Amino acid sequence: MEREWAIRTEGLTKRFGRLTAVQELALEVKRGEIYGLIGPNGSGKTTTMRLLCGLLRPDGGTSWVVGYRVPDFHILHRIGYMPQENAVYPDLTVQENLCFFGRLQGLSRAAVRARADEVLKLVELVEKRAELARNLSGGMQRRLSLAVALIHQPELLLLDEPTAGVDPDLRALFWDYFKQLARGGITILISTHYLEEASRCTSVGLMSQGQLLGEGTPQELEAAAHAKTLEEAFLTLVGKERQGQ
Amino acid sequence: MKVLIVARNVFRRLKHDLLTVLMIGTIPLLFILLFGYAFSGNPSDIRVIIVNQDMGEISVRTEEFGQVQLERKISTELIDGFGKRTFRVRYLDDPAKAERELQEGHAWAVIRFQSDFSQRFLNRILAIKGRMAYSYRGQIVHLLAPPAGAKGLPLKISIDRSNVPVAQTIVATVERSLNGIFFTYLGASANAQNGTAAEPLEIEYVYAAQAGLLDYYSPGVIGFAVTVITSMLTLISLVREEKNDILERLLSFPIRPWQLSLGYTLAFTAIALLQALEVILIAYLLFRTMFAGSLLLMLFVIIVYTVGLQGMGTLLSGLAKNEFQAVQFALMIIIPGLILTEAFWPIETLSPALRPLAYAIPLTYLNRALRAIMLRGWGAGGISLELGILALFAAAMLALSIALMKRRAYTS
Repeated sequence: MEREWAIRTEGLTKRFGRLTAVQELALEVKRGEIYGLIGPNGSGKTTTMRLLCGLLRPDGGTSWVVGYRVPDFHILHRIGYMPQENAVYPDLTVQENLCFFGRLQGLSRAAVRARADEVLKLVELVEKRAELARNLSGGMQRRLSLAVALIHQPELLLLDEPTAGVDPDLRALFWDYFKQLARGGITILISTHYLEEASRCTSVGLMSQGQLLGEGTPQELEAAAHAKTLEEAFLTLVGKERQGQ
Repeated sequence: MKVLIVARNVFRRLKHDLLTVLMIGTIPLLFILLFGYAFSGNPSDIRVIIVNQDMGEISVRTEEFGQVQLERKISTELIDGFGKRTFRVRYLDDPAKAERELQEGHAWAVIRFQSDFSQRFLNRILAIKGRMAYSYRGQIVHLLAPPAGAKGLPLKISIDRSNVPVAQTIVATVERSLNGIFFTYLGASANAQNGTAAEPLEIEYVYAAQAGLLDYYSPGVIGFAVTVITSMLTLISLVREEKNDILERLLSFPIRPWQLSLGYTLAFTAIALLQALEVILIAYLLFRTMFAGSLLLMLFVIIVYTVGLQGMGTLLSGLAKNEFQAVQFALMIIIPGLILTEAFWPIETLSPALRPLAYAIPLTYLNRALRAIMLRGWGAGGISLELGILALFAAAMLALSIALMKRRAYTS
């Protein structure tokens, strides 16, 4: 069964003092799909991402990532994580950034060079490889950040709000990249607060206040909530949740 | 109006950054308190060994009784003149043992009075005055000048000059006391007529005989430069990485916290070492600073210290939320390092209340070790205490910084 799931969590919980950021989360992401974790700011998406990367110790529950139970060092070889900030060295060139992170993944110099060519082609930064990262535009820095996450050909990409604050053209470009990557067999877990982006995902999990309110394809969620759009479905589910409380 | 809006906004932002407000308040306070308490007194507690072999028996010719024998230990009058605070005196009988203690760095000076000190002191006074009234067995007698005898005073001072300001204070204190009793015996009129001071002191320097103040300051400059650059570099770069999520990304890569910590340590230590080499090279080529010991040993001690300092910077970077706070934290390392650690001012010049603090700062031991190597020419054995303390500091800070990194990276 573990072969089928790229991510599986059971009762995953994380608290920060009195605040429960993630509560009893049961998430299942199939291999090869683009799973959108959709929810407003503060709904627990980033905490979930960080729990799955092993950057946070959960207060309860268990999670499995690419077949390993978190925490496991093997996972880190197989995932690519793109945090909300660009998280690249501004004082290194595009190529140097890729080389550094690629070498940390254990790639040889030659392998890093070859792989850098591929990912730079994908994110359309070949011409900028000698530029210092700080001299790139905001959008280019986001693309470089994605390239860093891809440098070691991960099985699973964890993208934390990759399109936040990005203009519509670039957002469309990013989704093209994600589709290409998914076609290549990479599983993508993407968090976003743009509900319209959910329609591009194969599966969607709607999160609010640390809980998963609903899960399925965008169409399934709309049908379940008797809604015309995913936004409506989300509002209905949040309303039901509040009534339940 | 807009000027005011901008200014007010700065204060509004500070309202939400209590740590910065706290630092704005404490840094100047730290400065003035440290400087005030550090240098509000005269040097004190300078470790000095006295070997007093003065017999205190003076054979002298008098007008009234011819040759008589006086009992007067003038050396103790001289010692009393040193004052209570300047020297922390230890008395030893064995001159060889005293010299050994000095050689091993347990004292800054050995002051040795030979058996005929009182005799020759009085002879010198009588040679200048010719005749001197003296109370002998309840009546006033007149002491007469002896035939020309041996010149100079049988008082020998051996000084470790590796601490130049302390050595200067020792010489000045002994000279002041000697001149004091000289003029007391000569009397005010004689003083005025002759303007004569005591005999020049016989001084022997066991270490760094030719050292000047620059030689004394150079080890301090090296230690201080290393401290400034390492603490600033570590704190600011780590805080910047934290702010940009780079640290978070790094921890999502398959790298162990100890590998990450050691990687930073290696780089920052190499930078500190290069900087130290730069200072050493310029000090040697341009100013001909004294380098009596091994350069390799110096670099090794600097490496050990930098490893510890870098670890401390990593720990502090966990507390700082932005670059401004990082700079303030760095200042909290740098300011006490400047004032308290013998970088420029010996510990004996500090207020006694601050001295325990000086011993709690690792830079004190780096400065002492560097000075011992550069000015005394000591090897690893001579600086084993300092090296041991620095190694402990390095091991503890490295372990703590790795532990901190580990706490942040659940998986690794």
